[in-house]
Amino acid sequence: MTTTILNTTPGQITRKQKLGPASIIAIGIILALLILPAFVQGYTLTSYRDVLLFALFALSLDLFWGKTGILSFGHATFFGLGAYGMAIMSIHFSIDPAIVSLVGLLAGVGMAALVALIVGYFILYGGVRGAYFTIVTLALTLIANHVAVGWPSVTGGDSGLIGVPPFSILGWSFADPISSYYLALIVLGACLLSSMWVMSGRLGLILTAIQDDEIKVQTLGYKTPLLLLMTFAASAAMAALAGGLYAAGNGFVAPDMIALLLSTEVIIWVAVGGSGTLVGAVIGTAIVWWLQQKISSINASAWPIVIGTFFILLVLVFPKGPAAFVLDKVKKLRRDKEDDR
Amino acid sequence: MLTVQHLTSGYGSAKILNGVNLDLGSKEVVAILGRNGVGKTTLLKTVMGIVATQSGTTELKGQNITKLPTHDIAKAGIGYVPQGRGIFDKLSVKENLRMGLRSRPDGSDEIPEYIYEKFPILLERSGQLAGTLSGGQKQQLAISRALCGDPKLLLLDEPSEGIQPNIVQEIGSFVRELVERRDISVLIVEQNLELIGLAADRFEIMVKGELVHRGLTSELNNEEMLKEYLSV
Repeated sequence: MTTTILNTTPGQITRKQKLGPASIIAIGIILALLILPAFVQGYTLTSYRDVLLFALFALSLDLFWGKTGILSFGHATFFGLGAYGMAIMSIHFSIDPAIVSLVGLLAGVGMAALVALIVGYFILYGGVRGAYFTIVTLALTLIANHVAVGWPSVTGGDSGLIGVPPFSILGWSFADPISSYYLALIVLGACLLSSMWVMSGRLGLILTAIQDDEIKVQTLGYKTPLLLLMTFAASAAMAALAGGLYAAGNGFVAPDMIALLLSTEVIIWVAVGGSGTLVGAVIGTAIVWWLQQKISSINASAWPIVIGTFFILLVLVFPKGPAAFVLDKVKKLRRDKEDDR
Repeated sequence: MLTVQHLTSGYGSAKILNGVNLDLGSKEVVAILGRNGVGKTTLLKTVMGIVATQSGTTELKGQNITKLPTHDIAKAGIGYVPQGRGIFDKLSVKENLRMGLRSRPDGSDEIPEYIYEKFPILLERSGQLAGTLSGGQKQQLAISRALCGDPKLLLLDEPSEGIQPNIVQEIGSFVRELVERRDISVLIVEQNLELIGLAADRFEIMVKGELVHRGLTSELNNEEMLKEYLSV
């Protein structure tokens, strides 16, 4: 360690600047996805659309977990609120078809943000951080799931609700695969780029400092619980946006969209891509989805075992994610080599 | 500037401060001395609102700040440099300084020129991660960051800890300079008598959570007194 500290020269170790590699990768991915419908059509394209929406969901978790260092184990609650908000509004109420999707989406996103604000207010202002925050949010998913299963007159209970209309706005319908794919891509691209832009500014700076030491940030005059709460609510709203579009895209909601398994999966997507990078959440989701296709085609019951094993490894071996784990190993190898010389 | 009356505080049922009385004038530098574990750091943390006050009051320029949350105390005009410096390792030097601008009363988002003039290394290493600086450079950065908030009162917790002697002198004379040029008062917790001699007007000695003895810095060569209060 001491050698590296003494050997540093000005500018040798710098933080990435505004249009860093991550932004270039993000723009590259979005451009590549723009031309995808030229090669893929029909049903396959709709599954790509779902991957994009799951990637948006993963991005929402990374916005909070990756940037604040506090793990939410309850993000499926917000995805589910978005999905159920969309479904309940469009099925139980007779709203003008021209605006029903918009009302449904706003209801879901609004509910998620409200729940995040209320729960977040009590736990973040109460000083709950770290593992305790994770456990409280985990309990939140369990409660939400119980409500979804146990209130059949509204949520459809175990079987969920079928017949959510495709997303449409003022007569513009996103019913066919291509338009719904582009809708998902535009929303994902806008959320990804704006998140990266916001986090490259002052808020990102403060959140990184909070990860280092929250009290010290307070001694510089920042209301840290408020900043954490706002980030949490924004993250929840983004998760609900993904959930609402997912429900409209697939035409149904079911309790597994608001369940613990989904909360676990989204953590894995983010971890695989490397938490805190934002664009990594999108890449991680795609990688895990691709692996799931491959492994499930060999043996349908193998996937839960693989994902469970991975989760254990994640906790025990590489808490910062596999990408960071490999990078650290490479760095260590290089350092050892230098020490030998 | 700062008036502390009958201040008590502690962690849970453990009482650390047992009624501290302190009066710090404007443009005055006061050093708190004492053996390890008597409550010197806790005094600074209590003034900052990091440790909750149990009884007593703290006033800054006549404003009662006893019950204010930490971030409002910072904005009221206190810059705090914690023990072990407390810079953000994962941020660059410049980003650390920018973090300090929040509590400026004038809302400026420019890092004050005089800081770079005094510590040119901070400009030179602007983009470098703060975690890679040397101990002395980290201390310069920590003090500079506190100054970015344009405070009326600076709290320094053991600035000499773990840094080389010539930097100790540099920091000592810088504190003096701040007081003269920028109208700042300084409360400094310190074990290094050389630094106190350079920077402070007077000292207070803390024993078991109370300030029991005070004097002018010139009296610090009194061996007997030092033996009584400070030797282990």
